[in-house]
Amino acid sequence: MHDEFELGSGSTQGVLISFTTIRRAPAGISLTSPYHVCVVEMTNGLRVTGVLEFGDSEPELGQSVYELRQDGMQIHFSNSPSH
Amino acid sequence: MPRVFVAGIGSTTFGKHDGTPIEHLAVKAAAFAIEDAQVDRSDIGALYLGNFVSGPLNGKEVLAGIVADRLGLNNIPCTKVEGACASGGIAFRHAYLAVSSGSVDAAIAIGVETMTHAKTPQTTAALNCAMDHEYDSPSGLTFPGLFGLAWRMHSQRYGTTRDEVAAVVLKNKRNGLRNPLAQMGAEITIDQICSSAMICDPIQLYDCCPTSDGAAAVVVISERLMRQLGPSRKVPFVEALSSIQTRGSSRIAGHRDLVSFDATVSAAAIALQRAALSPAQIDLVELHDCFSIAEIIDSEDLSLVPRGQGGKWVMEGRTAVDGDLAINPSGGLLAKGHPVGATGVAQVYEVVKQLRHEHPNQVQNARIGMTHNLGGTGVACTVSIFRGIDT
Repeated sequence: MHDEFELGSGSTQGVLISFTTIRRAPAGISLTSPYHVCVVEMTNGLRVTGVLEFGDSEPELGQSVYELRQDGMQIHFSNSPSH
Repeated sequence: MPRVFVAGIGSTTFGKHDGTPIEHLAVKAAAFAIEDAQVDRSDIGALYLGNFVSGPLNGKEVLAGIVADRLGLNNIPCTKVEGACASGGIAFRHAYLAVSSGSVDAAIAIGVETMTHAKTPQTTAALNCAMDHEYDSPSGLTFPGLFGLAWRMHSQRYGTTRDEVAAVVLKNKRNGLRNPLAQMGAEITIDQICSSAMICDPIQLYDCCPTSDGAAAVVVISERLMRQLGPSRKVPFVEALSSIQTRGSSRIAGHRDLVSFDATVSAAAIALQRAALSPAQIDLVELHDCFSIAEIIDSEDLSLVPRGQGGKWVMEGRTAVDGDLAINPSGGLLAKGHPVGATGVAQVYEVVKQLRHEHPNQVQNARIGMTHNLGGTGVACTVSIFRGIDT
């Protein structure tokens, strides 16, 4: 079965599976380096790749993260609900 | 299933081949392999060429036919195969299948890439073609980034340390010093590794394999041809016991677990089953250490090292040339280099040299060897197993 993911599937909160910091953006990416990339498991069970914006503290794996916005297929998360 | 034997191997050095056309490297490696095999060129019934980015970086395609033409291999099917970093392993598997199916008595697998002439942004863009542009690329993820994600999770779950991951680099760089084909063998220190530029946390510069130019080739033959050639052979044959290709998720978030690649797990299980071997019977493995942490993950996925113990095994010297299981005695991708499309075939070259007992960094009493080639974000994988035999 194809593991489909569709944006706008309802969940706006998830768990941080992992993250890294990209020091040099590849061509065609509208992000300013350095930036953080994460894998998040949403509350509906779907996993997505997104951009992580740090809140007040350094993120920890397994903590809750919150969707801030979507720019097309680019999803932004934060580890702070009030970010 | 009919038996398949590796009769000949050839390789260029890996590194910078400034100005050498890509097809010239492929022809050079293939000519070495055909000469080594001592087969007549008319015996070769099929050619498979692994390559990933000859189009974007060289403006050249239909390489398989071009190379066959230069080699004088006439009127045979010539096929270029692509599976990102696993292109070479896939090419080998196709050659293996062509012979094991009985379609031909001999086939040649060639892997080739030239990359060092291109500027870094151009190379990064070309390599990123192996990423799912709809789901993964919009986040700005890169391949070092993928392994940064995996490393952070491996550390959290299993306690894998910076020093353990650095030990992979130290070992492979040292192995590379003993391999005349290697691009970047070196005696380095942990301090050098840990003070090198940060690429994608926690991956630093020394944790990354270099971009490379290079080619490798392997001639595989049927048992019938092996017996025909046997009496005049000066070097032993090596039997290819199994060669498996599998698919994993095409997008990063599609992996069930970031510290394991399903395609590797399943390919290794099937390859071992087909070869009727247990993991403990593998004497050496050339595996896909595109980044230092990848060697640890791969060794666990291949079931050669207990899950979560990869870092400790390398730290304790158990994966050294004289350890329980030699991992990447060639220097691996980290030290030998990674001309992407060539790597999978070059791994077969290295294992065959070991099983013939003629490797400059020889694993003592090596009898069974494995190769592991992983492509893209784990979407394509090949695992092959070999056994040394005397004629």
